[in-house]
Amino acid sequence: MSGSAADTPPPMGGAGAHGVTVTLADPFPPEVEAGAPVTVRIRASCAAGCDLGGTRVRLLAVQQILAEGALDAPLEVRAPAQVGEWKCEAVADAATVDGIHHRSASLALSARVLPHATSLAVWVAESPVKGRPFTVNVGAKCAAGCSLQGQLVEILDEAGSKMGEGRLGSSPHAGTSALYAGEITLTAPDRAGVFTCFARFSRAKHALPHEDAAASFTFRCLEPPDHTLSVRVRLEGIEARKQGIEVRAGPYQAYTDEGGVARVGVPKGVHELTFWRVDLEPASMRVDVTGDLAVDLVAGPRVVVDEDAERWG
Amino acid sequence: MSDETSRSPISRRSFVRTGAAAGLSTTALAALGAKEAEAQQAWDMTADVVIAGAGISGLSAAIEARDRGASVIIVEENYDCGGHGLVSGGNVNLGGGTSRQRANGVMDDNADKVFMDWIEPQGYETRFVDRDLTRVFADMSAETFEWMVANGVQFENTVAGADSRNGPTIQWPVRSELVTAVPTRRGSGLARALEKSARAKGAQILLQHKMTDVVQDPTSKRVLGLVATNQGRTLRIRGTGGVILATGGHTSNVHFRRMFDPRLTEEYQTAGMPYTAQNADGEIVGMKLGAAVWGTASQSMDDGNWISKTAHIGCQWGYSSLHWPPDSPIFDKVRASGLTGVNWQNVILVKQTGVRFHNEIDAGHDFFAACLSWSGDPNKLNGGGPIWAIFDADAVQRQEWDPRPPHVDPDGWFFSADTLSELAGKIRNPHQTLRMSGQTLQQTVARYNSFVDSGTDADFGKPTPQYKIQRPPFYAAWSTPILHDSLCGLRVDTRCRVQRVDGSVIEGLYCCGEAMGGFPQHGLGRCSLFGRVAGRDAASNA
Repeated sequence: MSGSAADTPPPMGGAGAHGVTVTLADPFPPEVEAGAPVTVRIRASCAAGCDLGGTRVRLLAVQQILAEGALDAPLEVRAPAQVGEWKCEAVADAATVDGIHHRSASLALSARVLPHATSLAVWVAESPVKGRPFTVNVGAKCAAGCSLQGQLVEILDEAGSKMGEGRLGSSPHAGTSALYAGEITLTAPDRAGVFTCFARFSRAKHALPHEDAAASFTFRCLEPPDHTLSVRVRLEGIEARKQGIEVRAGPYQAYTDEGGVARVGVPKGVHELTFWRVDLEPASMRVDVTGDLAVDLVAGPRVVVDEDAERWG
Repeated sequence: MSDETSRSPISRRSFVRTGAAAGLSTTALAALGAKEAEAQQAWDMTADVVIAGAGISGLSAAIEARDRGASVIIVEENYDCGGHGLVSGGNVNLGGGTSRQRANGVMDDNADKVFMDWIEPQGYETRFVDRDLTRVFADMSAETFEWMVANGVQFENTVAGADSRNGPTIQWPVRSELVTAVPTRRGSGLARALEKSARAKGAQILLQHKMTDVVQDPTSKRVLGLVATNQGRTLRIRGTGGVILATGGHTSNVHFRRMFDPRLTEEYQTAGMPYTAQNADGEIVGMKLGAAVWGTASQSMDDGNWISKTAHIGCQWGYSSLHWPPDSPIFDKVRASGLTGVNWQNVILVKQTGVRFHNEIDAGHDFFAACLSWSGDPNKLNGGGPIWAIFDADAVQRQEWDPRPPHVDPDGWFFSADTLSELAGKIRNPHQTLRMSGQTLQQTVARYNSFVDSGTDADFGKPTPQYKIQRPPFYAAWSTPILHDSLCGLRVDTRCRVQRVDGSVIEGLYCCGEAMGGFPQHGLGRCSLFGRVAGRDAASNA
């Protein structure tokens, strides 16, 4: 992109004044996030080949100087906070070089300013029991890394009715760069089953505009446990700690204690018992729970398959 | 042959020239045809047997030829010997009445039983064999095992398989001579032992010499030798008894492998790389001379080890039992070991579009067919595109993974992000031809999580999906199936002489190992055995 000389009359009658063309070292971005830094390097050239090295340049918007400096020097500016069209002008001031007047020139620039993209993560640490309170974690991330501390997040049911809301915390969630998360306490439905909900981040009150974001998620609402299933995980063929083995009866879970026993609260009925720890070979068994029950599960070392050997065994 | 001849690196019938031609006596020249004499003048080196490839089959051919008094030159493209065998699991499947079998109480195995097992019509891997070659394998199986032992190969005291025919070698004990020291990589015990024996018996091995062509007499069509390059220098090496193509298979050559299966486009990596590549060098030079390709049904059958499920995710090469450790001398090329021991309940697998496509627990050929199915890219209809394992922080915790280098390769093979939508946008890989939509990935995971809640995978029948993918951060790890075995190659007769389409022999040209077709065994037994056949026959011409 380049622009032609402005209509600025040269001094001393204008005879011999040279025209100037303004260009940019790099293309002006067609789209930019609100408030994002933009670097502009304004160049100017004389059709007659004069060296315009000392020319001053400016970047203007709405007649205001955003930045100024030397020819081809990086000018750091920020996109406006308002979404919409951003019009700028790159200007090379008039200059006299080797006694020859060079007219000022400008180049019109335009970019579309966008709100910051946001995305969500939603997680339910434990399946709730019907009718009881439970916690939903909602995290929001601005693609530009903005702090979203204190912003509002909401939970809606499948029909769109609000179930609850909360505020995002003050620091990023552990392990993330800029996911601000908050906990929302809800009351589980009064019947068991799988439910679909939506988390929503909208109407952010922030100095910079942010997109709304939404994410669906499900949770399973459980029957309350009637009984305790005491599961002893017996280790065979491996010397390892007994504590910390995850035992699951479907959505009901617990971890083994120092004695290798996990106490899982379950409702009456048939359950598929499984266990998991990375050093153990997974196994399962079915149990029919009609009352408190103690069972043993045998766990051996994880089998590392040598596919070469197995295939030709 | 005299002891002096058999011990010397190059026998009295071989000679090395530098610079200008000539050196043959007038009498000797007169004994050759005119064209052959002319060709003879232009050789830089000469031996009775010239072998392209210092892997298991090439080394075996070399030893066999040396044992019969022939001089041997091997050209090897790589910086070291061993080929895929050096980084293999070392499982050698040879039976028919070996000492190992007898030591394990199997007293009644014999060549006929081996033959019958290997022509079993109900087995995919035995259905398409060339039975003439299978008979050779059966007849030489036991003696090849004992031959290995006689050449210094040591075997572990474990056996497996029908009649205890299969068993691993002991990993080579000299750590500095290993490319990977992972205990399951016992192939070094076979490769280094054979190399040591070949060198001790006087085979000359030229490393970093790549075979680029074979030389054929224009009149008789007999293969006279080969051409190799080394650091820009070209060498013409004469093989008076024959040239043996032992260059490994073809699965690294995208164009070649697609002859058997058009789906195998460039995104599929090959096991054994980056140590060695299976570039179809031998097959291509043979085909230029009119050699036929043989036993192709074995290559694209819905069985066998030509394709494997990635076992180490988040790295470029995740072949199941080859887990590259950071102390490998070539780890700068490997770049990452991968996250291993994957429990497929902890991840989902998606195409490059971000959609699930199959039950993640499956590891059979239905799974591979789903992986290789069209990814949805209208500009790339063949190939299935990248497959990504998607998982979360909870999976990392359960698996006790460390999702950082050297375990993962963030330069195109592993990504992490705060949200699933962000993760999709970050995925950049040379084979990722479409931008993964954040919304699509988010919806895929939400749907999968609903299956975890319901206990049933309504889309693909994953047995009792157990764990949601929900706790940030989120990860995407390369999990595209990886290729391995070359199960077809050049047509050869029972003497490993290369044959044309019409069955006629290309005189002077041999082929063995994975470059050879007709006996698609996954394993080192066939490579060594047929290497011996080729070496023996080529030596007989000298």
